[in-house]
Amino acid sequence: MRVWQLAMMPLALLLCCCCVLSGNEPPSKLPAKPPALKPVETPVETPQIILPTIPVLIEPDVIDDTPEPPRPKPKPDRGPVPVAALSEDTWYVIESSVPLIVIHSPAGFVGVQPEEGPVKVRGKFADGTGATETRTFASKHLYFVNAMKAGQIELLIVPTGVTAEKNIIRQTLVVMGLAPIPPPDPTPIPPGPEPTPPEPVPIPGDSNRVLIVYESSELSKLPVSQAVLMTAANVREYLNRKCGKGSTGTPEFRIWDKDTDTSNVGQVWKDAMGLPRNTVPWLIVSNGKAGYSGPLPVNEVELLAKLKQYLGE
Amino acid sequence: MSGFVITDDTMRPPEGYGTGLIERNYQECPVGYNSRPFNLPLLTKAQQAEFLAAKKASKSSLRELRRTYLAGKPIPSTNQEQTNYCWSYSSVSAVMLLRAKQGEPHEQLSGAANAAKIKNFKNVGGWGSQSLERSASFGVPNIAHWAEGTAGLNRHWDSPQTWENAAKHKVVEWMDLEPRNVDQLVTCLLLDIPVVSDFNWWGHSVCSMEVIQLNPLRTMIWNSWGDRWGDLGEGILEGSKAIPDGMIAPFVITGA
Repeated sequence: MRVWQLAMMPLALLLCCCCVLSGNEPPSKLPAKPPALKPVETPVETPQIILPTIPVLIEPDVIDDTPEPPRPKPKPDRGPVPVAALSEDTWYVIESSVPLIVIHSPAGFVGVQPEEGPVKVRGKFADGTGATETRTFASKHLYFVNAMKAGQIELLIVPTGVTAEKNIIRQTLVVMGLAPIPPPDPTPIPPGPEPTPPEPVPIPGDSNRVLIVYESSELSKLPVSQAVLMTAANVREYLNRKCGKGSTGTPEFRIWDKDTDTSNVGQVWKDAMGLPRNTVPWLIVSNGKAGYSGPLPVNEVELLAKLKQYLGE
Repeated sequence: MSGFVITDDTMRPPEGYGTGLIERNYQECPVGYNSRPFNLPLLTKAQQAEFLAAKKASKSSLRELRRTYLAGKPIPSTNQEQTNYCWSYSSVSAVMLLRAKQGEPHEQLSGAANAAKIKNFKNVGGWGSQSLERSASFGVPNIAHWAEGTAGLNRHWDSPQTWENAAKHKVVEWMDLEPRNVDQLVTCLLLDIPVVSDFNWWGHSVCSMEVIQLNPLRTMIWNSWGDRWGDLGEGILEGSKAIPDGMIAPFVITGA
């Protein structure tokens, strides 16, 4: 290579790059091999998920360009709060830039319908005023949640491909139970005694349900009066009479070994089976408003008394 | 308790009904060959007497459950008709009793399905643990998906939908009892664990479901010859006739 060629190389490189960017062929007399271009790093798309809030957010949160996983932006002290209640005939709309898996637990309290946006919808909204409105949801992935029956649920919002638990959004919703949450009151609330939280219902829903969990290999170690309770005629007669009826007409009680395969059972029983237990045999009684979750009474008289306490005579 | 006692005279199947037990060879198929051996703490003789008294006082038994489970009416007996599949119907009866014990919706299950699959649709005998092993792997379909009796020998029942249904009725845990071990049998029955019972003297496999008396032993069995046989499909075995030569006991099944 001659000296003049070396001197011209930077200019040739510059021309080559310009031509590539403009879509033109580089001049043939310039050095044939242009320098390799570094691949342009495309920024990782950060999921943009919008939940209903009060007051309604006009502008979505700005998404950082940094490749780190998204972190919720710090909210101002009296800024928007997520809607935590869903009344009848209203829509709770989740907007997202990426596909989501929306799980609700326990099942049966809400319905979730995925839609592709943008769509224009006329209806009442969980973050609305209570009046019928027309809204346009611009995001590509929309999930319309509606109330089916009263209770409290947790929504688990899982962006597709998520690999860390911290990227799963959890939102508790009171369904058909409470009035919409009013906008935050700017006046500070004077300190007062903490309200006593209501005792959680072991099995939510509006039906009488009973679950007894035992360990087959431990039955012979139990007091005889307790071991015979699983099939005792009076207990069965009472449970048949007082428990709600399932979709097949079967009374809503189950008596399960702790190792029973529950993969096919309804969510309500899965949740009941998942309640913490300190020992076996264990009794869970619920009328939907109040209940008991504790050791199984040791004889028929005490068991029936405990059942009648919540399910009536 | 009065009832239908099974004797040498009454043991014979009614015309048009089969049995089908093949004696299990315990040298080739020892206890635990396809499951875990019996591993419950044995009830002592004193405990057995105490349990029996308490169960009678509280009417606590699988047989009582079977008699009243369907809104006060009994669960129908299975019916093997002329097939030699008793060894499968006995385990299906045990699964239905366990479903009742667990409070599950009743499903009338087919004793023909697993036997037909194991024997490649040939109408030949077997022993209880063979059918139970397959019930654990594949479950048991209901009679809407696989007819019982001679109609169940037809291959057209064998479909993916059938086994999808069967998977809802699987045995999850079961134990292999020592042959003719009375204490193991009595412990299971007093703890409301049904026992698939192979009786060589009878050439028949049925489901033992209740201890009626300890000494001499009397047990209540559930047969697979329909409800018109015995006392609504049930009968009482006494003394040595009540002691099975092969026993397998399912105790955990799929919930519904």
